[in-house]
Order: sequence, then C-alpha cells, then structure tokens
Amino acid sequence: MIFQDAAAFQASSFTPRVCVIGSGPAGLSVALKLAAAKVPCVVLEAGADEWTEDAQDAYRGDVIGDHYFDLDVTRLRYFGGSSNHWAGWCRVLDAHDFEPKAYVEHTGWPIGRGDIEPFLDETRDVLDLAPFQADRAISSEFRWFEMQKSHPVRFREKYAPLLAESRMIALVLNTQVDELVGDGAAVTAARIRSRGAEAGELVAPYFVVATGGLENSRLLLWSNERSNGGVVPHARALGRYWMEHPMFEVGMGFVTDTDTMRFDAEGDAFFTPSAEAMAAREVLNFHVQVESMPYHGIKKYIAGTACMAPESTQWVAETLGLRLTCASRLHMAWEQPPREHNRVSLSTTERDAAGIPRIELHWRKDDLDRRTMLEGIRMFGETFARNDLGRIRISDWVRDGGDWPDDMEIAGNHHMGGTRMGENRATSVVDANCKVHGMANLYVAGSSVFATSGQCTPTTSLTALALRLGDHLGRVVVAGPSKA
Amino acid sequence: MKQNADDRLKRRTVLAALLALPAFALLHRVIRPTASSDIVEVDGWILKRSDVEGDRA
Ligand SMILES: Cc1cc2nc3c(=O)[nH]c(=O)nc-3n(C[C@H](O)[C@H](O)[C@H](O)COP(=O)(O)OP(=O)(O)OC[C@H]3O[C@@H](n4cnc5c(N)ncnc54)[C@H](O)[C@@H]3O)c2cc1C
Repeated sequence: MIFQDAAAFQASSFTPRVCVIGSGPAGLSVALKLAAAKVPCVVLEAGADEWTEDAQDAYRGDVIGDHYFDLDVTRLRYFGGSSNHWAGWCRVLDAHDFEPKAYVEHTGWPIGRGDIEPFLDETRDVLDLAPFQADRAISSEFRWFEMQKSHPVRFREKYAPLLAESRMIALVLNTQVDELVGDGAAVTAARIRSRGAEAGELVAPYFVVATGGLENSRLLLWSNERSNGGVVPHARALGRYWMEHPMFEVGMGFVTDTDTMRFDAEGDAFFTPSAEAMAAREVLNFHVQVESMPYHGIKKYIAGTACMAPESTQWVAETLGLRLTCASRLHMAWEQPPREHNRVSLSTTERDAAGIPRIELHWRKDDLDRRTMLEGIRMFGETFARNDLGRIRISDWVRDGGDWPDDMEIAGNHHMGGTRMGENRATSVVDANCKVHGMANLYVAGSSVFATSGQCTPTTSLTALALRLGDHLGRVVVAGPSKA
Repeated sequence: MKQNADDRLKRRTVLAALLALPAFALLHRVIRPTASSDIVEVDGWILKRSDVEGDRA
C-alpha cells in the first residue's frame, strides 16, 4: 500500500508492528524482510515520490573543517532516498575490515563478515548485482578486486509496484518523523508531520531509524534532547566517529602489463592491500583505482604532468613516445580512522521549516589520513615496479604534504558512523543487532552503524546489514516482546 | 578500455626503454631511499634501483 500522506494512512485500518523511518535502501531492505516474515510495517517517508524543493531544504546544513559537499547536495530526501542518484558501484566489506587494528584506536566490530554473509545473495537480488568475481593477488601485498559497476537500482522505480500491491508494507509519503519520544527504556511514539503540518503521534511496538548516514544522527540527537536523554540513554558516542572515504587523484603511471591489470569495460582496475601489508606500514585500508587513458588523451596528459616534473616525465615520455597507449591516472580512496571529534551535531542557530536544528558536520582529515594516502600509494608503486607492471609517479602535493586540493573528487558521498556498532556504550550507540544500547524497541539501519568504513563503497554492506536486521527483528516480533 | 594486442605495451619494450635512458642519471641527486633496498623514489617516480643504476644494481 502506498499512502500519499498521514491522513490517508490514519484513515486506513493498517496496524503496524514496526515503524520504519525512511524509504532508502536501508529502510526498504528492512521492510522487505519484515514483510517476508509476515510482520506488518509502516515506512514513513519525509519526501514525495519525486524531488521537491521544500523537502530537500531540510537537508541544508553547515560543514566545519575540511572542504566537503553541500549537505543538501550529497543526499536526496524523497522516496528511494539517495538511491535516486547513487552510482551503483558495489563491493562488500572484507573480513579484515571487521577486525580490530592494534595500531588504530576504536577499530573492530562486534560482528564479523560471517554474520552478513548469509544475506549476501539477497543483497545481490535487492541491488540487481551479478556474482562478485574472486579477488586475485598481484603480489604478496596487493589484490586486484572487482568493483562491480552495477546499473544503479533506483529503489523508487524498482519497488513502487511491489509496495503498491503489498498487504504487509504501508509506505506513507510526505510524512516525516519530527522526533521520537522515549522514556529511557523504550520509544513510546513518533511525532509526525505530514505535508508540512503536525500530524500527531504514531505508536508502534518497534521503531527502525533508517534516514541516512547523516540524518540518523540528527534525528536521534534531536529526539534525545527533546526527551531529556530518553531516546538514546547512552549518548556519548551519538553523532560521533563519523567517517567518509576521502578520494583524490594522487599520481600517474605507465602500465606495461595490461593482462595483470584486468581493466574493466571503462578502463579501470582496482587494487587493495592485504591486512598484513597495512599493518606493516601502520596504515588503514584503501584502494587504488588505475584509470587507463585513451590514446588521444595521453599526450596532453603527459604535457600537463611535465610541468610538474619536467626532467623525469620528459625523460619517460620522449623514450616511450607514441607507444604510450597505457598511461594512467591513479586515484585513491581510503578508510578514515574513527575519530570522536568528527561528528554530526545540532546547530544552535539554524533550524529548518519544521523548527528542527540543522546539521553541523565537523569533519577533518588528520595525520593518519595523510599517512594512509602517501604510504599506501608508495607501497602500491613498489609492488608495481617490483612486479614489472609498470612505473608510477606520485604527485608533488601528495609527497610534499600540500593542502588538500578542492578541485578533485574529495570524497565518496559515503556517510558512515554517528550511531556506530559496538559493545562499549561509551564508544558506540547500537549493539551487534543494531539495537540502541539500553532501549528495548529502537533499532538503526544504514551506514551510520558502521564501526569502521573499510575502503569500499558502503551500500552493498549496509543493505546486507539491513536485511540481517529485518531478519532479526522479524523473529523478535514474532516471538513477542519478552525476547526483545 | 578494451585494448587489442597491437595497442598493448610490451613489458619488455618499456622496461628496456626505462633502463636505457642515460639522461636519468641527472636525477640521481633527487633519489629518495625507501624501506626496500631494491626500490628508489626519484622525483616522485617509484623505480627499481636497477632502473637508474643499470647493471650496477
Ligand atoms: C552522488 C552519489 C553517488 C553515490 N554512489 C554510490 C556508489 O556508487 N556506491 C555506493 O555504495 N554508495 C553510493 N552512494 C551512497 C548511497 O547513495 C547511500 O549509501 C545510500 O543511499 C544510503 O541508503 P540509506 O537508506 O541509508 O539512506 P538514504 O538513501 O539517504 O535514504 C534515507 C531516506 O530517509 C528519508 N528521511 C530522512 N529523514 C526523514 C525523517 N525525519 N522522516 C522520514 N523520512 C526521512 C529520506 O527522504 C530518504 O528517502 C552515493 C551517494 C551519492 C550522493
């Protein structure tokens, strides 16, 4: 069932056992699993079935620290959420991403990759993915891996027909949760607003917050403030340990062994280090994307590079001359250390049309980001040379510790942490089942539960985690409250 | 980018080109040692020591 607003939903006789907040990949994955377990759920969606300026305005906010995207550009607030503009690049977190790294504080998850593996087949169904190709070692330090560039599933387009027919899922559009109300042990209601006007309270036995990797923190921070700590009783880590995947062009290279590179159809090849290689240099996870250059672009590119490294590039370019069919740009994306000070907080001055404080995102890369970038690309360059795959050159700004460029990718639009998973209530917000510590009926879905980010795009893993949560919650609901 | 066999750089050819460049000796002054004895960093290029030292390496 799809309702256009809260009034239409309230006029129906639908009685949900679970209220899911948000209709992006996370929220809809939870709902699909609940429906499969015959658990009726309502999905509240702040936006309409298309983009509107009014809904999107609630996403404006400020960034304090490093240059980042505008917060109303890096996500979308309507049916399907940011799946309406994601790129569809997919990969699952590796087993070692879940393990603690002795040399970086606050790493390690309370679950392992084995806990999400049972849900990976369904994840592929949800995201329309092909089976992932196996990784292939190119040296003792690096593996080639498949970054699956899928045709990006738009959840609104794919799931609207199924939702319209569903007797178990009621999707309510144009209806946002302004705040959750809690008593320190359970959420008792959600205060909702529909088509811009207050629309009362919605009561359900269980609630799942799935409003995106920035908004999950905002909604819980605001709700907790309004309920005097009654929604997230252990709130020290709430909003904190927020992470992105910084992404920069860090150098160029000449490839001499294209067979080993296994470029994909778009001319890209991706490589990631082993856990042992990371530990040896005390860096976090990363990947290097080798983007091969079409022949006609190479000369111009060499000329550009020659301005920065006149002697050596001229030397290489003149020698290789027109045979340079395999020059490449090197891009890196890496895992950030989870830092308490990188956080989502509520603005004390700016509010949206509903009177809810806007986000202030505090985000700064630090020495370990620099180290991972520089030592990571050095390590890759060594593997490249030692195994005669080609030779690479690291850009001057990377080696010299220059300012972070603001004319490159910057980051992935991947919003992770803020409600991270863990056992320690001082440094985490949800437990291994994505349940908020100390609350009987409040769960969180999405990449905000990531304890660490790994190097890969987040949506595949967050979908698997959301399916796992839906499976777990379905069993909890069927078993009854005493098992919560 | 799909490449046919003719377009592909032959590993040996390129390595020969890299090794044969006397002008590169000019760059010795900017060689940065690395953690591994077989690898050097020259003006940002990550090279095998043998690339710049030839048979002496
Ligand atoms: C340009 C771009 C490219 C990307 N490319 C990739 C990629 O290639 N691979 C990848 O893995 N990831 C990619 N991502 C990230 C990906 O889009 C997100 O990881 C994913 O959409 C997160 O899903 P979600 O359900 O957690 O959140 P969202 O998709 O943000 O959905 C949250 C939903 O909650 C709703 N909502 C918010 N607040 C409320 C409220 N108070 N009440 C009710 N509803 C509310 C929103 O309207 C929205 O529909 C990209 C993102 C961007 C912006």
